[in-house]
Amino acid sequence: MAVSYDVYVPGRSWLHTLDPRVKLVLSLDITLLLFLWPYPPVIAGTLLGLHALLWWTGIPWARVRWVWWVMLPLHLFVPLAWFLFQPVGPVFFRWGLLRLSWGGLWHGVWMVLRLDALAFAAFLWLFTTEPAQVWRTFVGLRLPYAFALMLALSLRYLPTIAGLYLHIRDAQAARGLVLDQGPWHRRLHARLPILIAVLITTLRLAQALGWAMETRCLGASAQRTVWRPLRMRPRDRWSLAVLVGIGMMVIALRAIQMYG
Amino acid sequence: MTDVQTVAALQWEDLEYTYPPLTPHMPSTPVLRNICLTLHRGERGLLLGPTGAGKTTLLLTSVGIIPQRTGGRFRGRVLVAGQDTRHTPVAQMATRVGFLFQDPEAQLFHVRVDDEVAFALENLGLPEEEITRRVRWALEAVGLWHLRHHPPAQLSGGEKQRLALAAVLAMQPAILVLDEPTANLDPVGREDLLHVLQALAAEGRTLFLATQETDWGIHLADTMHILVEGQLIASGPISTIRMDALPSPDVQALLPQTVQITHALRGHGFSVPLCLDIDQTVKALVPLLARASPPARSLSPSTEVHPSPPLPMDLSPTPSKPPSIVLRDVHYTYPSGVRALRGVTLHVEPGEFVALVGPNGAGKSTLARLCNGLLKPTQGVVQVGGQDTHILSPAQLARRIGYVFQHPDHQIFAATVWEELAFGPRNLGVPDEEVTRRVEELLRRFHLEAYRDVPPAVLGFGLRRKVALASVLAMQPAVLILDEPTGGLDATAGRDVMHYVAAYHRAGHTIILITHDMRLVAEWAPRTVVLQEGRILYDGPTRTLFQRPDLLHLARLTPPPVTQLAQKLEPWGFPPDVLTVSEFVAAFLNHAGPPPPSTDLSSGNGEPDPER
Repeated sequence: MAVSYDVYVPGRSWLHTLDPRVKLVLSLDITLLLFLWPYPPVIAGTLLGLHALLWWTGIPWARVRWVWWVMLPLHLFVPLAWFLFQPVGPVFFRWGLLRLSWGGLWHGVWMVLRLDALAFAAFLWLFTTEPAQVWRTFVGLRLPYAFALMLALSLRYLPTIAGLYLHIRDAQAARGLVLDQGPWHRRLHARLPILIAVLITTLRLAQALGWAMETRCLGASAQRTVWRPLRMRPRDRWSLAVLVGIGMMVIALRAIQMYG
Repeated sequence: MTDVQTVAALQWEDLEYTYPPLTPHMPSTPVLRNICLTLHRGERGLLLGPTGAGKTTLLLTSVGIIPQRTGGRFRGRVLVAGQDTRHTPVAQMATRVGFLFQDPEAQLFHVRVDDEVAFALENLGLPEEEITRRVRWALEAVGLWHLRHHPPAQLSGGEKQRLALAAVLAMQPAILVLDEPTANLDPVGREDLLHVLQALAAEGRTLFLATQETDWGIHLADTMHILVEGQLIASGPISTIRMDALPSPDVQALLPQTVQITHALRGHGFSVPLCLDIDQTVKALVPLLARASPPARSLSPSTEVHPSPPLPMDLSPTPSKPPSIVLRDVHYTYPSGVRALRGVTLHVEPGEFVALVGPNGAGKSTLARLCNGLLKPTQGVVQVGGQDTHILSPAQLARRIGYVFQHPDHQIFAATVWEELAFGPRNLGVPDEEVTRRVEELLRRFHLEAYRDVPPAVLGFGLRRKVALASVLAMQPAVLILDEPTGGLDATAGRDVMHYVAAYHRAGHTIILITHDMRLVAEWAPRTVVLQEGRILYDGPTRTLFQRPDLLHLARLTPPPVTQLAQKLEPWGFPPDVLTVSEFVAAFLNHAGPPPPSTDLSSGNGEPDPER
């Protein structure tokens, strides 16, 4: 059974059909907003807006919930770290490095919500961009082809290697390996047979992949062409203009707030 | 068409090659020696050889990967269309030699079928319109145009290999080199690929093909080249190869079953030519059968499928309380929503040898994973030894169920072969003295003593397969599940592995064999379960299954060549349900009687039956 971790959700929405480079500018705008205006109302509004956009685009709730699930460890770690070590306002307990404050906890919560919003801004792009367009986006942004290929291969093979990990974990479990019993260091040590086998298999795969790419003429011509390159349509250009305008407005407003 | 096609040919001139040593202590002996071979334009060469003979190494020299990417000691030269492969970059050489690797996973690195084909053409800097034209041509040539927007990962095994071939074809190379292209394909996938390659060969392309599926490859080739221990022991047009003069039964076992049959009959004094395919064999045998035509009779279903070979080992005493596997109305749906099993009910008795077959994606591996607790049924009950697998962890089940995975590399991790074999029993809490006893015994039985301190990851594929099997047997499970245990091995090495398995079976253990190889099923498993789309299509004697063309067609299966031959001879009174070469020969001797007195024995070689 092949394991698939594709995050793309097929669809025909406005975002789905927008040039991926323009969608990157949208994600960039959201990132700018969150960095230049890191205030709770802005963060909350952005999160709500992103969820509305995801709903409008037709992304299933299960995918949205999955992002929240992926971010769950940060929800536990970041507020706790701020609560324990990063005082904001009155400190009600001190001991060594520990400086506990309710203000720290409050800031930690908003910090992690900002990270959530950033994650959703990135996933908005990944959910609505066909995998085949991902490397074309990088090429279209004039990134060096080797870099674009490396990114595309990473995205292509991450699921394969993740699937390999699960497969090898099963193979070792079938030989009586117990992974989830005992203290953490024993659990970590128990994973060594899996990690070593994953490493060996991945190295073999990488060698075979390199050979296969060479036998498909990689590097044969200095003038590499791109088949079906991204082409901006009028709607993409208008959208790009609007999004660039919004980005500049966010920067200008922040500059006015700070200096003027 | 490129100008290359006017001079396309492969030439090896006195080639000797040695890989660089993987560890400082490993001896570095030549993998290829004295290779002198020429393939002319339009020739279709079939490269045969046992596992580890150097076939892949020889093929890799044709495109320059060896020595350009591997290093090592390289003497002599290899010319492609007059160009020396040592001095022409691999990427340039690839425009002349299209190379198809064994594993599609490492060849398909795009997320859409048409992008996969376009990749090489983009690398060549072709204009967009030309790429569009060639992508369409190549995908139509392999019958995948309708799947052009699909992700390659979602294709079946046969479709993936055809896609990899399309990606190679798009470069329009004059020469195609194919390394085990049918490995892990189901029988229908193999047939599909065969038709595509036959069409390409008819266009005049040069083909050089290495395969263990000789019965399949023989339909493509007009020349045969046999490589043993790095040396060509026979080479030339197939009609000129003295197949009856090959040096050992191990090499003869590489030949198609029809050759093995006719060779064995010659050993019994019958004057028959060595036939390469079923139709030829029918023509040769019909006159002999026509002499005496008693009514066709079936071999008894209870006949032992495989004659008892000498036991290579006797691993452990018969378990006192052998378990059985019971599945009752089992359903399994993956988290992605794919319904892999839909109401499977199955009972495997202790000590049975059962084959589990079916097309790719039928649910075979899912069923096996339910048995050893790696998966729990979403509905229904799975019991092992009377206990519900819901209450047992995979580690607990590992005491009862041993699972040899398809890829040995998924199991191998230890620093030495000895440690690899000891890993399983140690996990089960077996005392150190007993672990040592078992490991030493297995090293001896599997002829692995010389490698006890060698990292298993650096061994050849055949040895890694043996280590993976031995490492599971070291746990002495009551039930052994094997997933394609002979994949990638030649007939002799595969038979070695199956002899170990058979010995384990005779010691009272239960064997479940998952495979696409119908010869293996026919030879070893008295009972076969056919899965299709998550349901059991057939559960019964193997012999009966191969008499059911309706079921075989539904499950994308084909009988082994020897059974197909017997079925074609049925009108002449031959029993249609033979499963192995030795059964065929016995039935033939029984049916046709002694050879006619006028038999000309001058062409016979008097060598023993390779099956015996």
